[in-house]
Amino acid sequence: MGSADRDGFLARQPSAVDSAFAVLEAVAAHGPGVTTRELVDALPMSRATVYRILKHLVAQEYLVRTPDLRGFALGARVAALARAAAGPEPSELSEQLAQSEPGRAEASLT
Amino acid sequence: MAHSLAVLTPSLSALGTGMVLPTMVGPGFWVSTLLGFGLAFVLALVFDEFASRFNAPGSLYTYAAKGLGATVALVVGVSLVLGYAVLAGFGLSGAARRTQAAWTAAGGGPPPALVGWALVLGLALVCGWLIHRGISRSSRAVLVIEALSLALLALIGAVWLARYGLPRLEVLSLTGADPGRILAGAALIATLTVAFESCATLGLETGRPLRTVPAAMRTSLLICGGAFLAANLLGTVHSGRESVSHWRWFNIDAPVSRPDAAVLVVLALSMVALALSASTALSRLLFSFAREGIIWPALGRTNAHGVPVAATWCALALSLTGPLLASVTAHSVALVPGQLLPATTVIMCVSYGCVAAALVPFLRSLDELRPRSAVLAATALAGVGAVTWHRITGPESGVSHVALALLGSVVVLGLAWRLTLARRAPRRSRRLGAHQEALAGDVAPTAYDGGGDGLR
Repeated sequence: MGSADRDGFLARQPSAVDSAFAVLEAVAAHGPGVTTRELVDALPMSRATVYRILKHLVAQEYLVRTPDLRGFALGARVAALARAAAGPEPSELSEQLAQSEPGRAEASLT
Repeated sequence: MAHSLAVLTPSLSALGTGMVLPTMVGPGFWVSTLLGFGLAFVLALVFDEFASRFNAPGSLYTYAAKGLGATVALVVGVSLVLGYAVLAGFGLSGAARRTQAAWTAAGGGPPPALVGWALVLGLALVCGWLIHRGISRSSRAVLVIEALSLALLALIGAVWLARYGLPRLEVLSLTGADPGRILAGAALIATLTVAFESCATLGLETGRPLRTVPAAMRTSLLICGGAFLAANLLGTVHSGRESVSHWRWFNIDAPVSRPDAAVLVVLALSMVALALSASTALSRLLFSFAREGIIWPALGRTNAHGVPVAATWCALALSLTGPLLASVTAHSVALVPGQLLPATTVIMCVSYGCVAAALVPFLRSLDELRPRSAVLAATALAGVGAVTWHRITGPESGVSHVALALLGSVVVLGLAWRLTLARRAPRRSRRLGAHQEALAGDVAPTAYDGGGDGLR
């Protein structure tokens, strides 16, 4: 279990959250346009589970369908999460800190 | 969800058919309600399979196009135009009728016939003005009206229970139940739920439409079904026939009753909400046709607030054809011709059957067909087939003749439209059933594709 976990999500845990992450990772790895069949073949989940998760992620706009409706791509909400996780630029950070606690902002930059 | 609920007119259905159903069907009336709303819920699950995969203001027309192609789609499109227009007209004339009845119930004399026309035209203008203000304002108005109507239903329920006592458990017994009457009751209820899918036409104006549109359909059916069942039980503590026929719920034998006048005003507002929602759905359908280039392009233009103004006024004009026909045939604009509405609901059921039949080929084309979806489609098809058969071959032969005539007209018009498009715009006719595609801004760039051009 230890070495497999270090390699990333394999969705061997039963939780739906891990399964959803596994689907997102698989779509990212295959690139835009990956089909349902390719995802079912790539993931250690039942077809019904993959369908259910894809439907949910598309409804929540974490995934989008290609114009022909057959393929999937990561949605803009995933990019928004990535931007939020990366945090603000250093100049933006100092500005935010300066607005909240001026003295502490100067100390943090030294 | 407000629009979907408004089209179902829960309080109106409950205070009308809901209360008299126990008398009409006899033992097992609640089975009719469960079967009728159950069929509508199965249809909602079928539409969910489309609505959760793409967003299209054409709703059932687009769903039929995706699965069965342009010809069936255009027939479904014509039936939707007819269905929504007749429903909107029914809402306008029903609101006028109930407003006049409220006046009489409050002690006023019988109003002249011209008042009916003034009310219908005035209410049509109000609907047009509200739709013009934008979807958020019209949705808010509809939500307030439906909340008021459900509160009214609860109040009437409380008064009846206090006056006549609680329903007995024996009313749920199936002893002496007639399966034929139960199924006839279910067929009637199924036709009361037509146009619940009209909220799908608002997908372009809704946040997270792939989630909210399917949820709105299911939730509105659950609310309406619950209200209807509650009204069934109320109809067992005291016969609802007199209430429904005299439009009196508080003072049943009184010719003048101010509380019942207030009830009628609320029901009139509920009918206005129905007209507003059906007109909105029709305008979006016409907008969708225009954007695909299959009707006049002017109907596909929007104003600064994103409202398709020309399509809206065209929809309202179409909705006035029902009351106009009534004033010619029945000499009263406040009465929709008796057989037109039931016949139109039959046409809508046929459309539902077409969409249910479209589900399997659509999912197969995406390689996403599962046994559950096939079972859903088959169940829905069998259900609407049974309802349509019953309405056409049932005891009301007048309705069946009008329904068959309308169905024939819809098919002929749809085929003629298809032939015209194939001759004049063959490339356009091959691409019917457009849906909203993901824009570049909706797609996340990924490191996996070397810079993330993706769908751009």
